[in-house]
Amino acid sequence: MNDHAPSAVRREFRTLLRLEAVCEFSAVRAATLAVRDWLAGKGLPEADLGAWELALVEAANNAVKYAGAEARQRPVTIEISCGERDVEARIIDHTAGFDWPTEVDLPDVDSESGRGLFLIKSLVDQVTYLRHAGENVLVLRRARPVSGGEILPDVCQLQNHLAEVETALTDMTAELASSYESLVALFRYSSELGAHTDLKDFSHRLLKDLMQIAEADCAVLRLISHDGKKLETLLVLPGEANKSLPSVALVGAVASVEIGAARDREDIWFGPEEPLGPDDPLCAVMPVGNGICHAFYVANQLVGTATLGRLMADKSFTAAQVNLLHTFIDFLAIQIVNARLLDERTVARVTQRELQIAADIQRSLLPSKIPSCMPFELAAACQSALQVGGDFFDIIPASDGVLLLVIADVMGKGVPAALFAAVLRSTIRSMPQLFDQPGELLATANRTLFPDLSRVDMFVTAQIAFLNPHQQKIITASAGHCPLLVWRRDAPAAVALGQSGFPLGIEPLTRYAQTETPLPPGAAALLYTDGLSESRNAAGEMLGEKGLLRILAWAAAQTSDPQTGKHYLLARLADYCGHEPLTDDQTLILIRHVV
Amino acid sequence: MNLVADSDGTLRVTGLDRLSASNCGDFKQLVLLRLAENVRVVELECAHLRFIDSDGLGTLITIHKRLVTCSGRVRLKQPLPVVRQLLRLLRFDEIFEIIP
Repeated sequence: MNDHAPSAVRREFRTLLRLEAVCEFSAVRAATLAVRDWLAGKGLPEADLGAWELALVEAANNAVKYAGAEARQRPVTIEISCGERDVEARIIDHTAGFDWPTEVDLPDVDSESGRGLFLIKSLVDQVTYLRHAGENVLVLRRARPVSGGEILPDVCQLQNHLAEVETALTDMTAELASSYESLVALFRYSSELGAHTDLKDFSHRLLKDLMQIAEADCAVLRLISHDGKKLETLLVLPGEANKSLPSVALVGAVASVEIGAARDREDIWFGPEEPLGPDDPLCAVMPVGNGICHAFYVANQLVGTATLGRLMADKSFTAAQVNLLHTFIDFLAIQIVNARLLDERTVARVTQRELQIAADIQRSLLPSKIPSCMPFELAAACQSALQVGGDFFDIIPASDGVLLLVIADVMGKGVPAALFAAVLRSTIRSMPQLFDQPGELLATANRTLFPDLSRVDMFVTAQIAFLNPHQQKIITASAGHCPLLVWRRDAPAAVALGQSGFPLGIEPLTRYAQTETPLPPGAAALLYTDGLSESRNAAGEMLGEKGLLRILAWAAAQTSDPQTGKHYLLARLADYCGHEPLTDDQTLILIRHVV
Repeated sequence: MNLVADSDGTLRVTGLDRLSASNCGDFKQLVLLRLAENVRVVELECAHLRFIDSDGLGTLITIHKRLVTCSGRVRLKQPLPVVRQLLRLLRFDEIFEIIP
């Protein structure tokens, strides 16, 4: 055996001894004794030591016995490794080798040799013989007894292993606990899904729970603005009063991890190695050691960003905690979208109800019956582009068989427009003494309504006509409204007549000129709103006043009564518009001097 | 190792702690030489024989075969458990006289 040959190294959980013995029985004896001592040091019991010594002696002696001249010059190598569960030996020789028999039987009892292989096989649990050119390896393995004596290195290994297992168990327990807390929280929040809870309060509670479970020290929640152009701050936790965070535009020069996460759709981590940029708005509220920003989407639409921060620089968020962040925030995103949809449905329902109310008001304003004013006959129509428009008309019988005609267009739609129409109607009706002075009537109505109209930045265009059957004329005044259109039998075309002043609600003190227009037999006059003249065809071309004059002339020439004329006129307008929907209300009063 | 031949034809071998390939050749030679002294029994004191291998056992078989020709035998006295276990494994307890 070489003096320097024994060497021991630690390899994972096994220790290894390698010996080289010169090819002699005495050297083999010394080597096997060295192995025995080494194994004894590993805590193997006496029975195992005896078994290993005998097995190794049998194996190594064979290597000596069958060595040729050349092989005798080379050592017999014994490698033995000791693990927690077994011991493995490798005997390497340089003999010619042999074929390991399939069955190793015991020879006759009085045979003087041939028991070596039987002994080897009987003493160990596993035998492998690897025969190569110039080198053969016999591998022996024998299990260690379960209750063998332990020695210090193995105890250390066991302790290390135990510590690893304890750490893993602690991690698993912590993850299990956080998962349990998460589930409990999510079940609790699930009961609020679809309910019309306060979104900020809900988000606040959810974010606080998330911070506690994920062991975060601070958090920021931002939501996309309604116009989709910026991230607006919903929550900053902990919520000290001095913590405020301005909105940040999605497109801009600001270097922000929130914008980056939203743009790239991936989480962004920041910490000592990759800190927040100096211009990052989060710096103002999140002086953290570590953090993660998560952008959340629903149906491929950005909903917002959530950022968690931790003050300790050496403790970044674990994968399990990041999963928690995703789970909680994705849950929150659904609630946010649900809340928005709920709000929109509520607004839609309220609006629908408002429109119904306004429609009822508007219908109540319109005359239920067109009064007679011979030799004039009248027809009227009011078609709304929406459910409720700003147009209205009124026909007020006055003394002596005269009529006051009112046609108006209140800026805007819905309930406010309907209410102002009602107020205008009442205001005009309250001044019968001014019916024959439409200009003064408009000026007085303007003074009356101006404070209310200007307060809400609204205005009204109106045309008032005093129809006098005795004098067979019409006196009109206009407050920013469409002109009166008149067609006579003896004229080559219909014409627009009258001057116009400011709409009601623009100037408090304004005057309105009056125009007197004779309406001889057969003549037709049209009061209308701009929904008629601004009708558009499929090409987007507007009809205009001239177009309406042509239609009036055509309808008047084709008919003799206003009711039929109105139908002709509206039919021609419908032809012009084709299948295009109404873009504005269409209201008219058609006056005809019947023969 | 000591070999003492008694007048009753017993060759007592003592002081042997190991019988293996490394020393069994010498052992065999010494014992066989003494067999000429009317030895009928070779008694191997085994109380200190800690280790014996297949070569050592083969040597005992050789001596046994010699003794059988003159109605003699090999006697193993007080073998250690590990040796006794080995003898039983190899069925040598059938041919050797074993004295516990």
